[in-house]
Amino acid sequence: MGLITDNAFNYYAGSQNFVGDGSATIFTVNLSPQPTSIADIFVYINDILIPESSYTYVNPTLTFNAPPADDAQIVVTIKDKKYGDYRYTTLADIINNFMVAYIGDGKIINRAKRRDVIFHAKRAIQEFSYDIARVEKIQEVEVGSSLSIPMPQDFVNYVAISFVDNYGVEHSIPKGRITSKPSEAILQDDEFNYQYDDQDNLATTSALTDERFKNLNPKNILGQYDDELFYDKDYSDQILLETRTRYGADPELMNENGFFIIDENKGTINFTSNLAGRLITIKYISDGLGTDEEMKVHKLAEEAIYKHIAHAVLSTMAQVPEYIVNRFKKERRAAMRNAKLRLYDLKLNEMTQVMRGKSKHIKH
Amino acid sequence: MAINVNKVYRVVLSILNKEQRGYLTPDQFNRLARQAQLDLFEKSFYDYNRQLSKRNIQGVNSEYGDIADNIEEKIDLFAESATQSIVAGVFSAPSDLYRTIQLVKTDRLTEIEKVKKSEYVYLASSKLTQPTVEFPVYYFDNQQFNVLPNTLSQCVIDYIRRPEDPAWAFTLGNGGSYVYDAANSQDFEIHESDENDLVLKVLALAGVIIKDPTVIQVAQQQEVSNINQENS
Repeated sequence: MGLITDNAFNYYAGSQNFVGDGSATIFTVNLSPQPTSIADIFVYINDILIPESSYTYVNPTLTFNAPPADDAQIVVTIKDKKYGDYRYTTLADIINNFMVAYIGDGKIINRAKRRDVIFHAKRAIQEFSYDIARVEKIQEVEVGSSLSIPMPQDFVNYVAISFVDNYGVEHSIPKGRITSKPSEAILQDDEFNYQYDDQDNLATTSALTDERFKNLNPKNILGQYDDELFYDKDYSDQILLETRTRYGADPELMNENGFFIIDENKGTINFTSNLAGRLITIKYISDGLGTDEEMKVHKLAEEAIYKHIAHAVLSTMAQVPEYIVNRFKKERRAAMRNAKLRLYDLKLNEMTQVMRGKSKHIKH
Repeated sequence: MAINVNKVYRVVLSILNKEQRGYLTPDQFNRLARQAQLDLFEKSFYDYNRQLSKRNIQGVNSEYGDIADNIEEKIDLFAESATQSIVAGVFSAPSDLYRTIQLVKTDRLTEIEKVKKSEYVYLASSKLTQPTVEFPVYYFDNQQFNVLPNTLSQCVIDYIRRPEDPAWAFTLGNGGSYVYDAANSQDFEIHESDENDLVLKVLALAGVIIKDPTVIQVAQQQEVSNINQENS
């Protein structure tokens, strides 16, 4: 039996058709992805959207309060239809497949608890999210006057942070390493002695480092001029000044895009003042376990995840010969390397196109 | 598939009477028969376990040579399924429950995994392992199944039921003799292949009642011989 269970119409149109007979009120919905609640579907009868109060939906059964008329064209459509699910294997499938194929009498793992397999499978998804199938998420947000935005809810680490110009082009914002976010600013008296509260705990205050950096004009770091006239021949003294001051400048700081710094303690991303009001995109990686929908593995990495779980289960079981554990360790490593290569997504023509640009001579 | 209770009773009586060792009344027989059936029924689980271990070491024999499969068939005679309503995460064990095979959701696509009650605390407190509707768990406590998460309203329990107690029913005939009453009798439910063992087991127990150690010895020797044959 093939792996595709819904027909082409269901998939491409994201909807399923029924015909009323004047008496039937119950219809079984079979779509991909299968809607799980009433909030996931629209229902039309003869091209008219039906209010949710007219029916109930308990996966997979759609029940109308009153039977649609004879010959009524009923269409159930998935809201916000996404395509390409075939690329992935769900966590539930991975666990069931593993339990069937790897565990049982006469197999190397003759007994393992499903909850252990679930744990190792989820851990594998996390590790794969970091290393192999790096699923990048992109959040778009506008920076307010506070110059600070909260980390995305499922943020694990950033990949790139950029601001978007009026043409939709991204400009990379480098991470600022010239300042930091103190997690604690100690309150001191005029003689710099530490202050304590009623409970004899150290008294703290707001960090000045943060405040000062917020007020920083990045051009003070870059050595730029606000009027940007230094190329004008009438301002030769400024050209001289510019030449002198930029000699040996740190390339890391030579950009106009501003900086961001991450406050690990508060979980915020902070920007320099020139980015106030800018549209920002944050590309970041998560651990793949944030929502049920995310708990899936690319088919190119499916074998690697089975090997990962098998090794994890065997290495935590008692009385498993070390050579078996080592065998699975090697198999896991090989499978993961294979998955990584597959998911690098290297396409010959794309590489050729990029390398054409790189082959130009650099002239001095 | 059942073993006729009258047949077993007659064989036991004939062996005992042949040696002039005494008489076993129907009431005594019924009590011994129940005990013997339960012993053999319980023994089949140990036999199954032993054969599985042996199979893992020696490899799998096919068809009828696969003793573990044969024993599994014997046990499967008692396999039952029942749909249970779960109220606040709890349902009571079926009255004839002997061993639980598994709990599954009503679609029979998702197993409800058994956990120890003591493990549940850690299981539930870890975000990676806490029970979900997709991966539910249960623990058995005080004749009740506790299913988690408690949002599940129904499940199916697959279990091995307790065999019905055998009964050799009778009516009183001429001269007060016992006449077999087939309609009110209950046959042995264990597999036919256990008939010899059953007779031996009843005899061994009967030997205790009639206080004859030789009967016990002979029966036990035969039983040991059978086990050796199974292990060879």
